[in-house]
Amino acid sequence: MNFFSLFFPIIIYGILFGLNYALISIGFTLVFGVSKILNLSYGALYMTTAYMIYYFAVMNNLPLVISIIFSIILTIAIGLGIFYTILKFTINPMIFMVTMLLFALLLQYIYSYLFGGQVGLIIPSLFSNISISIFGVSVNLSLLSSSIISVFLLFIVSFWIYKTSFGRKIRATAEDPEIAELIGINTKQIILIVLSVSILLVSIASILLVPMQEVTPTMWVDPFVIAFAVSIIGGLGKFEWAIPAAFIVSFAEVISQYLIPYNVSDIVAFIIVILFIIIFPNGIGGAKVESWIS
Amino acid sequence: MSYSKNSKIVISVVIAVILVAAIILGAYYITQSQTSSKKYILIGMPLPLNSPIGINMLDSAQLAVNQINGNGGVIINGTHYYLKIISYDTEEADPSIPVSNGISAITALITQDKVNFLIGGYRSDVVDAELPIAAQYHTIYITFGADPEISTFVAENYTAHKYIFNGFVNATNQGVQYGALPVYMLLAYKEGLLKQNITNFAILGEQAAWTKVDIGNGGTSSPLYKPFEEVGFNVTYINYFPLSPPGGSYDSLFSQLANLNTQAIYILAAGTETPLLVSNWDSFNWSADKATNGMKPVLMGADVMAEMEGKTYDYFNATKGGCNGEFTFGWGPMLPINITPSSIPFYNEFYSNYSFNPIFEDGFVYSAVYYLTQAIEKAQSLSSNAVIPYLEQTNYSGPAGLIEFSSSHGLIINLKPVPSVPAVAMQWHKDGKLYLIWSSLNPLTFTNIQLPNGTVIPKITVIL
Repeated sequence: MNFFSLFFPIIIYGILFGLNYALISIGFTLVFGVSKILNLSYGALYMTTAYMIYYFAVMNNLPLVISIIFSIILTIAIGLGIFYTILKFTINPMIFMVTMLLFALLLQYIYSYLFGGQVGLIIPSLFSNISISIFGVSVNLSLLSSSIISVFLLFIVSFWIYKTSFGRKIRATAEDPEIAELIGINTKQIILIVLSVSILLVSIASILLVPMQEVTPTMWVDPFVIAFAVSIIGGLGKFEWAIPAAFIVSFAEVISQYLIPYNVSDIVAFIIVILFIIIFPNGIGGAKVESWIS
Repeated sequence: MSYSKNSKIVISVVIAVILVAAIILGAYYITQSQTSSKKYILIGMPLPLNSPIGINMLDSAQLAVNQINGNGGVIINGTHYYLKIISYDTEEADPSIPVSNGISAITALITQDKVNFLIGGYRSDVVDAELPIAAQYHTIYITFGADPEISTFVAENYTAHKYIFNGFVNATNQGVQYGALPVYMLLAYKEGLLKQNITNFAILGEQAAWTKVDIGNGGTSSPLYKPFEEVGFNVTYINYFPLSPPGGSYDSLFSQLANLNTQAIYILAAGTETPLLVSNWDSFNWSADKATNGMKPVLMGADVMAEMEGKTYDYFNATKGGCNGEFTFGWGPMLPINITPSSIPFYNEFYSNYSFNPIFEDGFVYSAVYYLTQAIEKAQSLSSNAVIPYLEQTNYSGPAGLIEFSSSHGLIINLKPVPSVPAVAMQWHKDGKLYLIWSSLNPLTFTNIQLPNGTVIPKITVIL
């Protein structure tokens, strides 16, 4: 294979996958930024949207747009419900996060039971499942469309955080919640809104990406791993670094696929996270991490 | 005390209702007590019941159980025993599910449900993890993984591991017959169908224990590389494909294959990721592939999910119609085919009961229930130790072929004069249906091949 036969696929797939990874991950990072809690049920909410769309659009033949709206609303309700239910019983961050993960597993079993644990469930797509050629590289229109929408959404989120007064409150809360409270910011409201937006973003990611794949009870693991890896690499809570971190993951995966003769794609994200923890423990964004072992 | 005429009628009706209810209750009680006095042989089945694969396997076992029970069950020392299946969902068709699910299932079946025998298992690494448990509890386990390690497990310590039987064709034996198919098929393409030579092969295996036999470490050292090259194929790529591809798409993998001018793709896959792989193969823009002039490469291989056609799971829909043209290889009467006298009756009975086709394991699972019960009757015992010698002497002509076990309890596959357990091949057509096109019983003849342009050739014979 010559240089260009590798160059264009790596660049094009790296960018397209990276944009989608950024969309999947940005909400996860945002929530940690303002609440200092890893939303470990995040992947399960991605799965929730997919199952809801299957329920409304496929099982009940509702129009896709209506199904999407219902699914987003229900996913946000479930996500907030999980978060605030746990918050009622514990404020210990470690117990909180483990309980979130348990809720993710619970959702896996609930959907497995409700939908018969069937594999091969397909949800309809907003876009065509055909491919075009860009610089000789096959690009699926659904993937291209989701990437373009990702750019748009990432721009809106960035504008919201960096160019609006509410965004200043989010950043202030992320920087130091106690001082934010002292200067009159309602941090609880900030967390509620940021959490809702993060669930909305992961729901949209699900709507865009899952139609290219299948709906299964274990589908929550992959987006969770990606979001987790991006957060660690970017620096926990450093949402401005989530986008470059997403590209690091995507390019590493694509490059490994092309240049490493043995299939390692399934574990690349884990390897990068481990490397970053060793080399850049605070991520590229330089997150402050306090030691809990003396 | 006197009653009006109406009151007498009401009282009569009430008494009649009470009598009828008493008779029904009595009959129910008698039936129940008769049922509860029945003696059962419990068969434990650890299966991926969250997948159509496991559902099919359970259905085929249940079919045999119903038939045997309908004929009076199994007679041991003059007593009729009836078969009863207790199944556990191991979810193992999903590659992300850990093997611990299988270990828990088999342990619960033996220790809590007190099953007499075990039939089941699917994913090789899960089966491999279950074997020591069955052996430890001295419980016969007829399993259907394709990993040759199952027989190795028995051979390395026969006394301790003799309880394990592999009721399915292992990957090494599969390769012998599967390897013949692409040769004949591509000769057919070359001579009579596409009028073109197809030489550039990419070989993709899912990352699983059973594919290691064929894929090895990937590249030119792979066990499948040399056989393909020896018959004149140019292997452009041979490796495992990821279960979670980058970006949730196999496009970057297919981009590599297109740049390598791949003309045919040979896949080995049994997991739930193949619908995505095949859907991507179909939607991929192959214009970079100079060897096919931008057409999709021919897709063939052992793709278990591609055998699914029916009400519980329809592969055609799962691939969004992308499997149109895909060839899949398997075993047994997945479509009506006369392998043994019991093949077509089995297919018809299965289809009439469940409204979908059997899959590759079904003929073997169905047979296992029969040859196990035959061994139990010969042993006149439910003890695994007593049954094993008779199970080892199995000579059962079932729907998928002749079942005989080697000294290490693997299936013996005789290839001459015709394969005792033949491979079959099917193809998805544009009408969304699966068609039988080939079997190793008659390897030079193909029927109902659909060309890439959609034309169906009713019959073609390859001339060597």
